[in-house]
Amino acid sequence: MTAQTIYDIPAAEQERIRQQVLNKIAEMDAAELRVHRQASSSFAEFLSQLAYEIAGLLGYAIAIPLAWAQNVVEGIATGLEDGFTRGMRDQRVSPRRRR
Amino acid sequence: MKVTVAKDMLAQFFDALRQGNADAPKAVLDTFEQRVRDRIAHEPTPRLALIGDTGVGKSSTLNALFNAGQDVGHVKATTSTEHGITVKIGPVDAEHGEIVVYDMPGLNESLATHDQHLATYARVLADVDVALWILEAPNRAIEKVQSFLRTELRQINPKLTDRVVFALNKVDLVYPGQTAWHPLACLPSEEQQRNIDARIKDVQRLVLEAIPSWHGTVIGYSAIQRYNLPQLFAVMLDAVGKKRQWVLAEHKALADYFELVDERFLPEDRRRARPTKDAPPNREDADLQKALLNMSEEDLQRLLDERRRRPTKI
Repeated sequence: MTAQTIYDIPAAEQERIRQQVLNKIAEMDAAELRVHRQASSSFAEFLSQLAYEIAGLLGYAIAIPLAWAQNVVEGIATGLEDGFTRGMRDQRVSPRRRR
Repeated sequence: MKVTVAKDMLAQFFDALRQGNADAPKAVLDTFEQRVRDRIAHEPTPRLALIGDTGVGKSSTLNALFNAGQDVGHVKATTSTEHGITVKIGPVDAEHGEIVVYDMPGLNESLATHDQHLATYARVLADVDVALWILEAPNRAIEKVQSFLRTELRQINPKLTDRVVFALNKVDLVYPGQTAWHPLACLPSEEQQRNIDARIKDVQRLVLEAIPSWHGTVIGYSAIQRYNLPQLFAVMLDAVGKKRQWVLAEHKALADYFELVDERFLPEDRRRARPTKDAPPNREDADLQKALLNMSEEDLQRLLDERRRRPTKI
């Protein structure tokens, strides 16, 4: 690439590059959403099992909210997706300097 | 808003629990909640193996995924040498807590035999959540890896080899090379993308020939360009056992790809927010500003010249 600034790039080429960047953003978002879903499902399962184990140890009949886990995972699939890109933008980090 | 899986879901879980157990004694529910939180806090930290020759970018990959900010070979690591293969194991302080890293040499750096590598790799794979085998995307000479995959790695328990992710770093250097990488959009050229895709297919084919039961995906990325990091992390998470996926995900802190893209190519909602007058100052930025203000003109010019040349640091 020989262009040093955006002003050296013809408008049509700028638009083409913008579209490529948008496509890459869509790929990245899809990957982030997949990670979020997997992590949520994993944690829901872990927490449900842990809750049963601890309730058993306490010897008290605690009702574990089974529907909670399903609702949360479904909520991720529907409601969270709408706000997902906002959340992902907010949690980007700049790399730390080496110590 | 920081999206953390465990914290948000835990809050919702306890709300639902208390609503569903309104008649239970408060002390019981408090004890239950405390024990759950304690148990979560004591869940073992993620264990990650990084396999690769010196210079493939193990350290920069670790930093790019977890914002670790330090070299893999740091002083707190313990070194274990068996069969002539040195494995450095140590905690790494990352953005969201500690990660235990097993730093392992690639096949080109060791005089050990393939059998010796096999024994060490089998032991490490049994210990870790995921192993990232990093290869250099521009380097087509992977005969040793190919041979090892075909003859030795396939002997390891398939459940363990499923924990291995093969990742091609430095895709920005794939032919025609760095000049083909778009400096403003931080993307490969069309020719470069074709070559990257071809390399990925090559390596995927080699791995599947050696280990037909392998279910993974070969991923191309660039740690230095922060390119394809979410995709890399997603592939790593696929390789982790389901029970531990949330633990690794909690430590994710990807380097910001969009910082390297000219914001005029970005949609409005992706442009980094400018700091406001009321925003608390970022300490690192303040330190950097102070250092720049105290620099002589000569030193500043030298720094600018070095930035323009943009040497590739691995």
